[in-house]
Amino acid sequence: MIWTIARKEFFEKMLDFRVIVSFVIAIVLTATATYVAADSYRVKKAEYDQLLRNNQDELKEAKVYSQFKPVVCYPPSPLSIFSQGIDVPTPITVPIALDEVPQYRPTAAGANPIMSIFEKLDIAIVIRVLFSLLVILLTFDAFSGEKESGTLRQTLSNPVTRVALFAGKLAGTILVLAAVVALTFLTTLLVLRLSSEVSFGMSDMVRITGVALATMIYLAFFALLGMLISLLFQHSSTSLVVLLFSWFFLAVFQPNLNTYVVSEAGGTGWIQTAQAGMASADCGVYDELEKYEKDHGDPRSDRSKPMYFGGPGASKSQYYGTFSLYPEVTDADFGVLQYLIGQIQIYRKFGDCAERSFNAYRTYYRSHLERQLRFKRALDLFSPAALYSRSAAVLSMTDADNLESFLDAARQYRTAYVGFLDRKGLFSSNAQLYFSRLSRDQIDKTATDERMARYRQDPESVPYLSKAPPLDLSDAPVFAWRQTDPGDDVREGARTLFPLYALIMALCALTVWRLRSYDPR
Amino acid sequence: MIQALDLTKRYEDGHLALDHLNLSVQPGQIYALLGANGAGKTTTINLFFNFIEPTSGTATISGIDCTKNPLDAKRHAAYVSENVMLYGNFTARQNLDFFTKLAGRKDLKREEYYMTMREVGLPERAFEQRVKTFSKGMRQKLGIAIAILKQAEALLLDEPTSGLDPKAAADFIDLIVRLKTEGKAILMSTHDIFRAKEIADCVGIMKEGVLIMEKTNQDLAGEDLEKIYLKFMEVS
Repeated sequence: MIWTIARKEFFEKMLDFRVIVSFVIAIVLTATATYVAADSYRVKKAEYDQLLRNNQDELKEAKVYSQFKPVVCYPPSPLSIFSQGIDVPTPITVPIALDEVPQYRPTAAGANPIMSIFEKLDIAIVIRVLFSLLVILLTFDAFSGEKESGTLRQTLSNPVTRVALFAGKLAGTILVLAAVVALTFLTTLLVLRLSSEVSFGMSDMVRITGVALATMIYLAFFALLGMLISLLFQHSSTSLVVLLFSWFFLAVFQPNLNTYVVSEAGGTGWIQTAQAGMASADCGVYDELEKYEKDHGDPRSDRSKPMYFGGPGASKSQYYGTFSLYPEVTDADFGVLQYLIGQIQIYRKFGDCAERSFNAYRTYYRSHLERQLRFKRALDLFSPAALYSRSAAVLSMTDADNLESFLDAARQYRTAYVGFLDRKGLFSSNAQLYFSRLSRDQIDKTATDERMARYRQDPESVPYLSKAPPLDLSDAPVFAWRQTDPGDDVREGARTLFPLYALIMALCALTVWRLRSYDPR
Repeated sequence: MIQALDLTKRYEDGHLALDHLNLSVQPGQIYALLGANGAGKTTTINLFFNFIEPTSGTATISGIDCTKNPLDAKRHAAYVSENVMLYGNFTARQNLDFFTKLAGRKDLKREEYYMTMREVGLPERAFEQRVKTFSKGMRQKLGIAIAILKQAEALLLDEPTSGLDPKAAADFIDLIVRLKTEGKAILMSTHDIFRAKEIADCVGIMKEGVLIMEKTNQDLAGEDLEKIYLKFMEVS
């Protein structure tokens, strides 16, 4: 019985002009969104590849350890075409450095970088906004339309329970939605295949299937909402008006409202507090350097040059090239530098300072972002559109947790990087500033003043960096970030939708309850 | 058999639509319910199909209580409304297929649908034509085809000839009479006094929810039903 009704419902809708038009609109918009999102991905991927190549080239060219500065880059997900999520227009690059643990940088506006703001054109937003509207247009007269046309009485004059009628209608509508969703996703894959810019592996296909299922669940919610509302009002036109308002609130307004409420809830004072807290973590390395300068006078051999490389207004981090100093490109006083390295243990201090700063970041900034995120996710429990967007982002590997796992991997890589520098003894000598081919003994034996004097006198007498052989970095740590398993993401995506299942069940119960006493006349 | 026992319906707004209706239609009989608009004819039929629930009393079809066992009762009854409304985008055969399957008959072949449509007088070209192009007369015939294929013992018709042209109405009435001869119990609400007298075995006149007159065909022999009807309608 249910199948008979479902079959009728399916074919009736498929022959309906509204559905045919909806199909065409869905396909055109999906193809457009796919094209735009694929183009955006292509640009991001090209930038990402370029960044990787540049960094690899730089590392290959590294002659001294101070040039060993890996940069890790958050790879754009090809699935961002389906849901851009937190994915940003340009690739996120994370320099692995001694003086900073990878983290989000606070912005003056206090915007939370891990709260997606639902503005980017991708398949998910087309589905979230447009497809939900199409479903409303398909279901607003599910019962009231049949009542008005008289077919409901004709149907109910047969031995059909109202529960079976509801189940059949729902199943038929779900079949139509399945056809629309399947066609949409196939169109997307076809456009991508024709553009030859994106290729998907088996795990990507699992994720795409997951997004398609999440889409079905999301659209089923709106189908049920349409069916329920069509039972609550006498006329289809009234149902349609009520549903359009509901759709606007649920699919367009509410997700953005949640983000706004969460952003406004804490005010903007917290960002100053966070910045002050993070500033308080300063361990005073630069103050120590300034004190040294004060106590010992200007240590430079060439006093015509400013103290800081970039001039008086330059960042303190450029002080004496503590991050990149090569004999042939600087005129810094190596005696001073050796003092800094040996007495102040400046490299070690930079590392320790970065750890302190990161702890402060976690305490003052990150914790706030997480609180905001938890608050938003709590509000999102009541927003089908937000739940769907998050589920699609999880499945497309573009959610906040994915980026956070990348940053975790970057932090682990930095720890390995620092350990590598430590093993090389680079914190306690100026070894990292000199060519690798010089042994530590040779370095120690080289009088820097004499060396620099020689260099100034006859640059050719000092082996140029460009002529030096590259560093052997075969034992250097390698960045590894394993993206989450598709199975785990499918489970997480499904878990994210739990409140939606509850809403769907509630709508089913309400619809059946209302239908039982529904007057078909 | 179609039977109403003290069947009463009072709506939530207090309006008494049906007041202790008692009637009985035996197999092979046509019962014509006459009455002005709002007299309670359609309400009576709605109660038999459990579209609405009675306030009191009982409606039974083939001895099955339509309120307590609506699904069982509906297995034994077919419904033809004033405007048989079907799915416009489906063909006549597809509509037949759907409604007969709902009635529980799932084993019918295409040829059987065609045969029934021929039987009710639908032209061959209409069999695979979309119903939205059908005239009212064709839709009513298709409604009868659905009722025939359902093989129900009882047939409840709600002003089935209303709005039909004389030829279409005559064809339709012929079909009803044929079904009567096949042993169906037929309850028909109508405004067509002449046809009621012509084909009904029993005629009831309703006014404001009350069955104010019930006469058999024999009782009406030689009497002018129209005059009787108008007389009852004039009485305040």
